Amino acid sequence: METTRVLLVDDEQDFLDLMQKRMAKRKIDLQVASSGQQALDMARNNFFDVVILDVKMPGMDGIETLRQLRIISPDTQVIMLTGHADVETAVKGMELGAFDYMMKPMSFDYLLMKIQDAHSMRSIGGV
Amino acid sequence: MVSLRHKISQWLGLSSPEQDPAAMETLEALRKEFQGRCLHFKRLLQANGKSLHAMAFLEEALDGKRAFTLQALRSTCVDIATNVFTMVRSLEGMAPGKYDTLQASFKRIQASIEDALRPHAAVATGPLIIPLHEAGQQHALEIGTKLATLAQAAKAVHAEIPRGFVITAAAFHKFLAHQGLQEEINRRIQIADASSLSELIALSSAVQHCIIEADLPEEVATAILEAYAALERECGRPVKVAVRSSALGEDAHGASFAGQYRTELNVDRASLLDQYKEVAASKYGVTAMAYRQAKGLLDEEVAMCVGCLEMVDAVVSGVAYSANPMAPQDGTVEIHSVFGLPKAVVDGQTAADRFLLARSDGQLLESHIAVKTSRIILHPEEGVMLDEVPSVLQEQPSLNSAQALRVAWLALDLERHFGTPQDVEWAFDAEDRLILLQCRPLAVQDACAEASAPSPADVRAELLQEALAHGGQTASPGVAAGPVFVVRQGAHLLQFPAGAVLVVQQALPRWAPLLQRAAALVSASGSTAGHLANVAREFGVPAIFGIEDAVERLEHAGEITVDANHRLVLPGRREDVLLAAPCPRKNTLLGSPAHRMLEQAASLIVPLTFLDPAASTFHPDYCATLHDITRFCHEKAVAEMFRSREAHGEHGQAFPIGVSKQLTLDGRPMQYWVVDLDDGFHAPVDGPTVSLEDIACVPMLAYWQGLTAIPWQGPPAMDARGFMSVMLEATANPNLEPGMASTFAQQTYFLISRHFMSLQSRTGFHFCTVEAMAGPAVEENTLFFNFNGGAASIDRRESRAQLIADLLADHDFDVEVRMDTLTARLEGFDQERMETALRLVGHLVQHTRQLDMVMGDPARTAAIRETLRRDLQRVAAMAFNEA
Repeated sequence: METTRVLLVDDEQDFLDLMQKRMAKRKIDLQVASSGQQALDMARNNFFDVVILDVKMPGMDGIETLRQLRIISPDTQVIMLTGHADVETAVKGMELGAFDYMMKPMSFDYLLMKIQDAHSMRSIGGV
Repeated sequence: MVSLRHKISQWLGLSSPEQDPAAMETLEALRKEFQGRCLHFKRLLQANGKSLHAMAFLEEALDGKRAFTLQALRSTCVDIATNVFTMVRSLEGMAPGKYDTLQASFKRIQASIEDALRPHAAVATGPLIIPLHEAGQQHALEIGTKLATLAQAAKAVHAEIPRGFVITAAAFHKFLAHQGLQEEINRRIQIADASSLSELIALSSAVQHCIIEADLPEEVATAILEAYAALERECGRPVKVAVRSSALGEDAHGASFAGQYRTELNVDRASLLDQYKEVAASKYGVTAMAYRQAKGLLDEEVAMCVGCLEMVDAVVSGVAYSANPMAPQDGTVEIHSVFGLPKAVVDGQTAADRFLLARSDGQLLESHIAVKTSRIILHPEEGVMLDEVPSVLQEQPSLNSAQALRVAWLALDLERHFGTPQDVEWAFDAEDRLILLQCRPLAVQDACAEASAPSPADVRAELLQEALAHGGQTASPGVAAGPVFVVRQGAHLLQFPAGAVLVVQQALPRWAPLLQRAAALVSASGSTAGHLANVAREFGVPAIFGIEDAVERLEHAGEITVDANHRLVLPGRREDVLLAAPCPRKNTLLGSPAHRMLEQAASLIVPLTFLDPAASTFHPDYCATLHDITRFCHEKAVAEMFRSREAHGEHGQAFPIGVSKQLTLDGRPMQYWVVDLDDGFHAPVDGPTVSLEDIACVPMLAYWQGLTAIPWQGPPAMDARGFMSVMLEATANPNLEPGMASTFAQQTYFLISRHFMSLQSRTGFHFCTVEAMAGPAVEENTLFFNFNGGAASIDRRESRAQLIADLLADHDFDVEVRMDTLTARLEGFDQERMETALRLVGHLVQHTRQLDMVMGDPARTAAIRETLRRDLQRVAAMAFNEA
């Protein structure tokens, strides 16, 4: 499989740093953005196969970012990530076309698997 | 869209597609479409497995078989909702537009689930401060039950109470709403999902830190300081206060919350605001959080109201019970008293005097005077300090008989007013004024404890001979056994094994979080009126306090039996003693607010009403639960995968030519077909057949190994009634003519990828489904086995299903038998273990064919059961490649 381009969007810098370190170990090129706006700017200039998106962020929240991202880059698969277990938000995200919804804390391997799944789903052009 | 089959026909119409680029293109499109369908199917099955797994969690929690936290409940529901949604969407991907109304059904059910999970905490409005003398029971929702009750007691029985004011629930909500504090707290709790005590301790500390560091809203700070100034004016002098928690929702639901929150004593103006924040933060103290988890109380419904009460400089103080908590009918009032502040009694730190008075006339029935070497008194600057009791006083009664009587009357007055036995905290000041500090309903033992009242004296004498330790007082009745674990310091909390007997030197409230996991409790000291005793009674944990050398005697005793009724500790696990006191451990979650929330949510998720796929109500509009939706999606997805079957007729190929390949073994074709969903073959396979050597699918190979490990001896010889039973069934069911047995004999499809297998099979007269994920990702690994049907009568088919269930249960499967349908699941084991399980299933599928016919004969059934059991053990022990 060609390399998967992954963007992680979260307002927690510690989490971004940690994930970048761990992904690097697995030879995955992970780009990061610390806000929804920054993520959209990046998605306009680069294509990402998979975007991992925190739901709760100051400023533009994850749901709004997802909405706009689907317009800018409809082929990108989005995995929502959250510290809030809320059925409504989860379903909302899925309806807007998110590939999946994961709750922190999650195992790193599980996240990797999800990224793989999302990527294979992208290759057949469906959610 | 042109159907897949139609396209194939088009292609088949051409003699040689390689010569026609247009045909090649069609073929490529077909391949792509099929690949997409496979991916959707695989994803649907995975989501199905996950949602059923999560539903099983809800079911266990519902039955009280498993403890759960509110966070776990919410995230489980989110998990189920997203997985079911994924199924709906995958089915949509497999058959666009065909099941449109499914989305609407999902949304309808999901909205009800959201409703069920929403906390119904009243949003506190109203004043930020309420003076205590203006308050009463009607203010319980603003100032918490504890302080509302205190205020009410002052009015109703003219008890003297400290002057002071309450910082209300409205103030607490303002504080937590300020700068998004509550959201941050919720987020941390969700992320931590603390199920172990060590995680909970870390979480509690982080959350409390958050609260203590947060800024108070200006408005709240001002109100508190103004109220403090007003209190000083009222008292006519500078005062110090006791800052006491009075949580909203704390006394409801039979929860006493004994000592779960913080109280700060002797606080002055300078530190008042900080102390307020600390007491407010104690809503998230380890003890309180563990307690809420164990009791199923909802975080959202607990608001910390905080009382600031003029500090009473107690000369003597203590706790009184208006009835005996262990035996409410024995007509006594019990008083525990110490010199100085009552903290020593409630914290279980020092020995206390104990007086028993008759409820009828206040006559002093018993007095036990303890040696009181130390007392807790006010520090001249701030806070409290430990002080040595003058030696002449140490062995003197801390109460005189007149004082004891006054305390007893107060307790009885309060019981009369509130209508239930009371637990009363009181103090005498230097002017011999009796001041009521707190009162609440007393946790009394129910009938169960009375039934196991001490047995005759001779039994006790006999047991006494063998006892490792005895004496002290029953702090909580009952009998339990477990290995000794001595806890001396906080660090030991983390190592405490579930089911151990907790042995401690002092009965400190900080050991309370362990009681949820402790079999029993033995403390060398402490009062049965203390917090720890209260919590032990509430959780139904047998406890003995006051066996002085308990730690030394028990430390290396290993397994012991604690008989709190007889105040005895026996070596080993004594089943006879345990049986004599059959008082089941209380499940404190059942009936709790969290459990009710679970019940509501689960009723919309777990029940399966879609039982018959042939029914006209097997339709999206009739889906009543998320389980129904999964059932519907699964059924239809399988149909979509096999959809060309209709066109080809019952005996035709279920898949487009070239897609399903007949399995060959040593060049011989078998009655098995294989569909590669993704990467199930080592290399691309051309032609209509695939050899076993080409298969790379881990679960299929393991299943196959089990299937072929021990040769099948052919169908068992039928007894005459078995044959009749088959005949009868056959006349009732035209599809089951015995003559058709050969055509029905085997029709098995494996849908595979590297670590995934979905098998649909018709073997003999029965139907089975095996779905398995067996790969390196342990948490993804699942095995689902469904088996039903048969040719014999229903009772014989049921016995066969039960037989298979029993055999699988021996190998750790979760099994369920409903009529003649067996469902077995196994989850979360490593790949090797999953492969073993698949071998077992393979063996059983092969060797239980037509067994239903002989199930009428008990002797033969027993023999067959034994053979199968032995063979399964052999199959389980096989290493890979040993077939």
